[in-house]
Amino acid sequence: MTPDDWTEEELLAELQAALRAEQEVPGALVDAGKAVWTWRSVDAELAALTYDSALETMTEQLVATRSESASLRSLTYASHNLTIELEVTPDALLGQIQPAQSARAELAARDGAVIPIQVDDVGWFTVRPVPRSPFRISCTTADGVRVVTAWIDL
Amino acid sequence: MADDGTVGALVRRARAGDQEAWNALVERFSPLVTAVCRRFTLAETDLLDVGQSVWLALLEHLDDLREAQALPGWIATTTRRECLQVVSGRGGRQRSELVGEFDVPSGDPADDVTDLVVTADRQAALREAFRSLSPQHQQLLLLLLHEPPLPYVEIGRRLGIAVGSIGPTRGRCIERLRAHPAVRALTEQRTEQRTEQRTEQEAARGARTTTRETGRHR
Repeated sequence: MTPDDWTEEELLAELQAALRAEQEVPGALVDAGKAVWTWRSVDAELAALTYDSALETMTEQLVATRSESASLRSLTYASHNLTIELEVTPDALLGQIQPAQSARAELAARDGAVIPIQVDDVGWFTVRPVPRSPFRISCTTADGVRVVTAWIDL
Repeated sequence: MADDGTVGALVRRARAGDQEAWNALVERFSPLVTAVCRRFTLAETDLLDVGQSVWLALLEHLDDLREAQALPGWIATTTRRECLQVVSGRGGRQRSELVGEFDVPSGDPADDVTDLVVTADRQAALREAFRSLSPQHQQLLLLLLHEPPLPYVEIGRRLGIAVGSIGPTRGRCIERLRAHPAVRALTEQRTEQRTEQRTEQEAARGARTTTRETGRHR
């Protein structure tokens, strides 16, 4: 069936279905989509997940019969210029920027909230408490390298 | 190629930093995201979570998107994947795993969302054509689509037009919808697809490939 085959009645029925489909879209879905635009970071390098201890543990569990995975979860996000290592403890998220250096850093949540992160002279930072909802970390070094991690969902 | 004229242009503009174009993309694809979520009968809050993930993935995907025509399929596949994740109750997957991936069909017909892509494309074209009509003509069509149906006398009264003019105006509106480039492109795409399918089938049978049908051109 193509528009050329439609009778007038069929075309109107199709139009009605089209308008109804649009009406059935929750307004909040469209609003959320528009709000996401603020996350566009044209000039930032994306740091992708290159290591996740949780995946390692899962792989080990496939081999081992007994799991002894009381260890902390650690994650590594790497971009061309910068690596961000994260460790999840029960009460805090610990981070290390590599190569070690101070930087301006921010934690961004999906609802648009942005929280500044204190980074010390050797690139070490702490976020307390551990974010419960998805977030990303952006870093700007003294020489202007800007890196943002993929979305992190712990 | 309807998508090159519309979706393709929106993608290029959004990529160049045009927020209005991004908003238009969100509006364009929200019905498709909703349709896929409805197939999985997600609760409203889950639908919004899925939507949020899809929009973020789309934003990250924008720069490496080569074929605008592949976008509806990509949206549907990404939405489906997020839905599956909600349905299976697993969380914590990294966003990066979603970006740029295309799904291998699982073989479960209930999971196939191709039909939703086709419907959403068709409906988006019809809405675009509808929006290109004058406000008076849009209003007339809405009254003609009213449920329960309104008698022409009532429609004429509401719009302040002669009853005798409703039929002919309706006909003109419909012709305009049909002639709209977005709607015409649907016909052309289908003709091409059919031709390609036929050509492939014939090639598979070892028959000599027929020359490609030129399709209907405006």
